[in-house]
Amino acid sequence: MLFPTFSFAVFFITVFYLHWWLVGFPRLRKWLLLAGSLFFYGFWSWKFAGMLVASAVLNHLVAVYLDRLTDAHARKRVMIFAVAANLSTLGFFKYTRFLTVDIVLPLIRPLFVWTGHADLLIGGVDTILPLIDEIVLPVGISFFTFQAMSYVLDVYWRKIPPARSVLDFANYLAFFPQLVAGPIVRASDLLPQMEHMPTRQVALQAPRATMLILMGLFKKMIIANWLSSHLADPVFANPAAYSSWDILLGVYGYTLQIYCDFSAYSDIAIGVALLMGYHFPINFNAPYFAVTLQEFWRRWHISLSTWLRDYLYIPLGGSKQGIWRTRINLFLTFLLGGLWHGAGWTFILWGAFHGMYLSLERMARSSLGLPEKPSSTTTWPLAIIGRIWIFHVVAFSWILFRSQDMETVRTILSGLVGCDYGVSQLISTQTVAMLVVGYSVQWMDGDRLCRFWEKSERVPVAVLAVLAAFLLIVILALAPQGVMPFIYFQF
Amino acid sequence: MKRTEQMNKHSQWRAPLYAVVLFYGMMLVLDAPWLYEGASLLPLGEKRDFFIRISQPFKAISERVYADRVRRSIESSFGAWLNGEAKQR
Repeated sequence: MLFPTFSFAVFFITVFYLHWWLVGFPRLRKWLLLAGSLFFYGFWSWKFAGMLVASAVLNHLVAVYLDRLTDAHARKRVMIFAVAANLSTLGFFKYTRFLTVDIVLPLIRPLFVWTGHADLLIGGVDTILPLIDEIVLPVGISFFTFQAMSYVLDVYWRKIPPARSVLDFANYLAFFPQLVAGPIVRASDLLPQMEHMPTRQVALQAPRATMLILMGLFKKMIIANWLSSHLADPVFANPAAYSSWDILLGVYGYTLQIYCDFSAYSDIAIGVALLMGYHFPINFNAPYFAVTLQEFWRRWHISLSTWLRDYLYIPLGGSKQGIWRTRINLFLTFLLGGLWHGAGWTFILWGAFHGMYLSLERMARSSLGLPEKPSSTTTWPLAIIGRIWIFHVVAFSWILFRSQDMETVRTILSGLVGCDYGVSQLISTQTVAMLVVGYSVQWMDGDRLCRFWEKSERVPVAVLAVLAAFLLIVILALAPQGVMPFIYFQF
Repeated sequence: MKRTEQMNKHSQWRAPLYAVVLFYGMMLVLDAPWLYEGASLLPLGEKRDFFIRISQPFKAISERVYADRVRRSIESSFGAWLNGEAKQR
């Protein structure tokens, strides 16, 4: 069920009203929310909704057991078992094909050829591959597995107590606004809200929620869809057919498309949750306004970057074990971050590029005597140069991320450096307008409009509803036909 | 005094719930022809018949009160400029 569809509109109004009308029946309300979330997920596949329930039950049981155990070694063993179980489930669905076809087969092929048993290998591949191809990746598995792992690890580190009941934990794990594409909300943030569900005393931040949803729909349905169908998709599908200008436009288009697409999902998820009375932390904060790559990662997919920091980078030793160890930790964290996004060499290279660049950036800043974090005292000419530079560094890395294979990466890079800056087929007033709007919408991220939200609380909600309906009609009128799935659904 | 405060709180809490109904109602009228169009594109069967039956009266209201003109005029002006010209490429 996609957010910008009629089915979601019907689903949401049903869950929304029942959720608020059943305030006096907390237990029933919790069951209703879980049923709603499972229905939302079951729209794709009921089979996988069962898997989600199984994951909730097993992870909660492990957390309760971990909380009761006192022996440190036993606790560690249980924690390792839980993390391994979660990672194996994720690995089975997401990486089986990659491991078999791209890693194991190229490694064992020379051995079979050398021993003269190549036909045996061909026969084996012919039997295994159809079985592997039957494995379907459950939507949002990377997100809810990471949430489950963070819960178990937080209980293991005694940062949080286990959930009061499996129902509360299942509601935390399966809460429909963030279930399929994040944000990866921590148990410490959302679990208490699930245990003590919002009451009628909670001030519904209707103006903020409405604007977030409308902004998300605008970003996804107009900007991301337009940039995708007019720039990114054609260029990445056949880069050899385009001039250097067009390839550059395609890369810019994808750079802004992925931001508008993914931040739109986060905006809508935060807005929908807010209408239900739940608060999520922000997930994007104008990432292309960053002046260093380190700052970019503090602004882009914040819930994933902080997850990787807290559950991977810091346990690896963080920056406390010397300069070289810090660089290795940073590199490993981003390499695995790349692998989290997808099973393919392009994603691994994307993660490695970010890890290496971040290490080099740290080295360069310390050798130049610059503070580790870019301060707010950076002069504006330097800030502008930094923004343009980082935008291009990130845009370059998106080439790796978006390309189907390494051949496409090579064609795009050779097209860019080939200096075939002849006539552009893709440039138009609309192209420039959409790129400018796509970049400028970042200004709405984070708490920049805080004062505006405070003032808008005074506007009567009926006026707001009428205004929202008209704005949505404008969005629907300007959006191209059809709604493309969100990019992050595939992860 | 206490009762007034309580009533204010009650109406404050209820207002967004009514506003959502108002929003959905307005959307049904403003967007009904497109909902009808979407329903008619569904594969033949009970689901299609059901959605057509539901959206038809709203479509009639929308066209009677000229509410459909809002989306149509935006689509034919700015929407055509944004999507139409680029589509021809």
